Amino acid sequence: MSKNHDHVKKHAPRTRLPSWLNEDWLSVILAFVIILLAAIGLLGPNGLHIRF
Amino acid sequence: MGNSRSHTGKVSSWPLGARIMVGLALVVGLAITAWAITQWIYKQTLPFNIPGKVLEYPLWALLVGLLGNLVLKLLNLKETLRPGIRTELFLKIGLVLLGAGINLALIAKAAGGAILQTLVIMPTVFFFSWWLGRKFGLDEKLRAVMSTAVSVCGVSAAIAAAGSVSAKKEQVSYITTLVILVALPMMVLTPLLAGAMHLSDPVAGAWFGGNIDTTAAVVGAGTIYSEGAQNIAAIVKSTQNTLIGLVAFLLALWAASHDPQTHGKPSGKVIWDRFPKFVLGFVLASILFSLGVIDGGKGTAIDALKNWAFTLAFVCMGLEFSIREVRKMGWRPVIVFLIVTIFNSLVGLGLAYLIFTWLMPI
Repeated sequence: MSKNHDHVKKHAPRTRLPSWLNEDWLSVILAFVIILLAAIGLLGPNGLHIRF
Repeated sequence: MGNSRSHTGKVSSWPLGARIMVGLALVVGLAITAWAITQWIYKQTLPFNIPGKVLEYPLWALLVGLLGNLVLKLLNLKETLRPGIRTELFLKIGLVLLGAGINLALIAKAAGGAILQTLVIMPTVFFFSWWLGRKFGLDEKLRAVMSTAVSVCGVSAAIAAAGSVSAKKEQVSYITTLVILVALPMMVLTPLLAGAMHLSDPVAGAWFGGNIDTTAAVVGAGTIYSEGAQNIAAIVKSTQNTLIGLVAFLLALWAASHDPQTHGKPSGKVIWDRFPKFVLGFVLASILFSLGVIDGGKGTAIDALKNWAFTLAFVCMGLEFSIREVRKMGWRPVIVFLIVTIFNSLVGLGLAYLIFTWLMPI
């Protein structure tokens, strides 16, 4: 990596996640997205029927 | 997570995005392998007519993960791919989805005897295990996971407790393996012993349900004994299962208020910061399921995705497994687990006999 590249990287705007969005909240959000998709029928027998 | 330098000090030349994506792809690939093994085992009948279903999927996911761990070490890729190995994330997604299949209303509908038995046996076994674990010098988090696994309902309870108290991955995999391996002989032995003692169907069923840790093994023991015993065993086990959320919630509260950084006097804000938010998701999902708003019961897509999330989590646990941590735990947890299982069996038998023969006979 060139020195110039390092400089660009150092001053580039950082796309950080909000501080409250930790793995804990992320798991809740992702789980409720799954629940929502199942509730509206996108997941299940009439949609993407995932089985185990 | 964003560092290219691992905790062992080795520097990975891979970009972080590639490390995450390749790590995740590996975890998914191993989870599919574990699933295929599980599907094959579930169709088999083991020696002594034991259904293959008692060897539940966490065991295979863990084993496949351990094999992957070995290969990654040999290829010197473990630290490179670590950012894609997200045990906590998969575990917590699975736990919230687990809540979407637990009906809180069941506890009101279940037979009075099952509720009474659960309310007596659960705290008795939990606190006996907690006390014995302390006598043996076990770590508090390991004790919380073990006590919940033995007193509530095995694997799911162990996972929920581990999330609530932020237990180490090695502690969860250690207890989960113990739960599954001990449930197997229990499933065969308890119906034999019940037969030798000429127990009635309700007493035998209540004993299996309150004593054997995994749901599959409870149903298996009931099936071996009689249909009547199977029904009662399922009711007692389901009553215990409904309490996972409550136990997880109380443990989370306990862990948050016992954080060493708070010096025993935590403020409301600190408790909130330390409190695992997935427990709230779990409880909310349970309420929505109980009200009939969502359906995460057996056979649904939510139920399948819950199992996939747990499979991914157990694969990750296998990948992150450290033999050094297990050596540190030693044999003492096994001894405590076995003593508590024997205690659970005796108390469970006495209670089942007392409740289903004298107090609330069916």
